[in-house]
This record gives sequence, C-alpha cells and structure tokens, in this order.
Amino acid sequence: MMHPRQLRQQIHQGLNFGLVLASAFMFWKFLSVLTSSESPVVVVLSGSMEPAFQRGDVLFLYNRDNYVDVGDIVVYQVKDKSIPIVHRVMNEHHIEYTTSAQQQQQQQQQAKSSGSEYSPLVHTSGGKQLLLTKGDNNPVNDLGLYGRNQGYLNRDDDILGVVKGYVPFVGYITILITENVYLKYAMIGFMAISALLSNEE
Amino acid sequence: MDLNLFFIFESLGYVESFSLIDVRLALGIGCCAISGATFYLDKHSEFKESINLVAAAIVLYSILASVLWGWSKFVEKNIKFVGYKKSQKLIFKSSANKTDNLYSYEIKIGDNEPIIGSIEYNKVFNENGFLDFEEFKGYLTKEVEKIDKKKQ
Repeated sequence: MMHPRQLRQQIHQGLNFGLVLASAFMFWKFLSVLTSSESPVVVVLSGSMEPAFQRGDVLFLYNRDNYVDVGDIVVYQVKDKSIPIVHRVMNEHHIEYTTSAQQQQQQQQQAKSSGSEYSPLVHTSGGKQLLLTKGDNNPVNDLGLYGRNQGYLNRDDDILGVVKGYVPFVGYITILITENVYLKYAMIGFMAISALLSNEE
Repeated sequence: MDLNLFFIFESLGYVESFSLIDVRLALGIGCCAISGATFYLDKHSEFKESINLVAAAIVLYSILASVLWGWSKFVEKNIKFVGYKKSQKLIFKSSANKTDNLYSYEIKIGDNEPIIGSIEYNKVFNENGFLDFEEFKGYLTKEVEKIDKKKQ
C-alpha cells in the first residue's frame, strides 16, 4: 500500500499539471468576460483580409460596444459553422422595434402620475443591427458564407467582436499545431513533462 | 535530499504531520474543480447565458489561487518537514542557492532555539552523483541530538 507521503507527492505533481491547464483556461475565460467575447483572441487563417491582415496574425477582439460601424473589421461565426471569419463591415441596417399605441399611452400616463413634466418621446423598446461583410481581398461580399436563407449577420448573435489590435505572424505557431497532429501531441507532452519536473530542482 | 527527510526523522521517532501540504492540496484541488466546472458550463451552455456564472467562477478562482500562492510563499515557505514525537514538534526548513555548494537548513524542536546549519553537497553526494543517505542522516541526527542534550 502506498505511503501517505508518496500519495500526497503524486497528487501534488498531478495538481501542478492540472493547475497549469486550469490557470490558462481561467485566464482565457477572464479575457472572454472582460471583452464580452466568446473568443477574445483569434488567429487569421486565410488571406482574405490581405493586405490588412496576413495569415498567422493574432487579433484582439472587443465586443462591448452596442453597435458596429461600417468599415470596422469584425470576427463573426455563423451558426453551425465552426470556424470564425475575419472580414470588414460593408453595410449595416438598424431595426428598431416600436411600441404599440396602447403601450405609448401607458408610458405617458405613468410619466404624468410620477410627476414628470415630460412625456416619454422615445418609442423604441430595443433594436438590432444587421450587417453585411466582405473580405478586403475577396471579389464578392460574404452572402455565400452565411447560413441558408441568411441575408445579413445579426450584431448580437453572430458577431464575436470587433478587431481592436493585432500582433503580426505570432499565430503561425497555432496554425502549425492545428495543421500538424504530431506537433500538437508533442506540445501537450512537453507541457506535461515540464509541469511534472518543475518540482524536481 | 528533501525527499529523504521523512526516513531520517521517522528513524528518530518523529511522525510526520501533513497539515501544511493537505491545505495546499485542498486549495489546488479547489482551483481545479472550479476550472473544471467552468469548462463544463462553457461546453454545455450558451456564452451569453453563462457569462455571469463564469464571472463568479473567475472571482472565486482568483481568490483561491491567491490564497494558494500566499500559502506556499509565506506559510509553507521553506518548511520541508513537520513532525511530532509525543507532543514535541519538529520543524525542518531548507534552502539552497543555485550558485552555492551549500544545503542550508534550520531545525526547530518545541520551544528551543532553532539550530541553523549547512552541509556542503560534496560531503553527502558521492562521485557518481548519488546521495550518501547514511552520511546525510548522520549530519541531521547530530543536530537533533544537540538540541535534545541542551534540553536535558
């Protein structure tokens, strides 16, 4: 039977490796919550945005602005398609939901009863922004990349974030790991070994 | 060398206390559990639905990870062995500078003044690079006996 000290040492070594993974994951989620983006850092995988971005560039996204401007470069992910796409916004539409006449009357009465001098003038109860995108290096817009019967991207549902910064070519290592299975396993193995040996100095 | 402390002090009648390492393990397991739960949440729910829970998990994880770091840095520090012989507590601390040929240690038993000393590595490692356990044990046994004699 294993001695209690040995057992603790083995758990400790396993934990060292677990904590490396846990910390990396929690830091990723922290960035995710901070930027309100599901994927706050992405790597450019294709040349569709050349010359602005090259394959391998790392992009930093921010998704806390309510609206996206025409000309912004956004990263979007269409439902049922796993790979996010980095393209520029070419066109946008606002759709505002107006309240019914009855709701307007109720709002005005509430304003009067609460002693407010002004009646509410804004009749919108919310809205959404629809976007059309295109890769700078592509001859046509992205309609063909969207889902079936989807004419626009929905700002709230499809956009992962607006590009706010980038680091050139650093993401090539990710591309290599993604495209080469053996390199991926070698990296995981290297991480595991370095975590296990970190206490052996 | 630190891995052999248990055998040396056990031969001197000290039973190891695992309270320090147990706290560290509990904090580490707590961190991994929170991270695992967050991963599960991430995989099984929409980002917008789970963002508040994830934020709470991040706060909790940060607190636990900070406590874990503080525990290792300030509470455990260089403590490599804690043991008891009856009600008498022995604390052994050790440290080493990468550029020195010295293994520095501090032994404290009960309320006695701690003994601070050092061992040259070449005195306890043979030319093949293996630890001479008996030699190392001899050094520490002498130190413990010194404290015991002082008490008497």
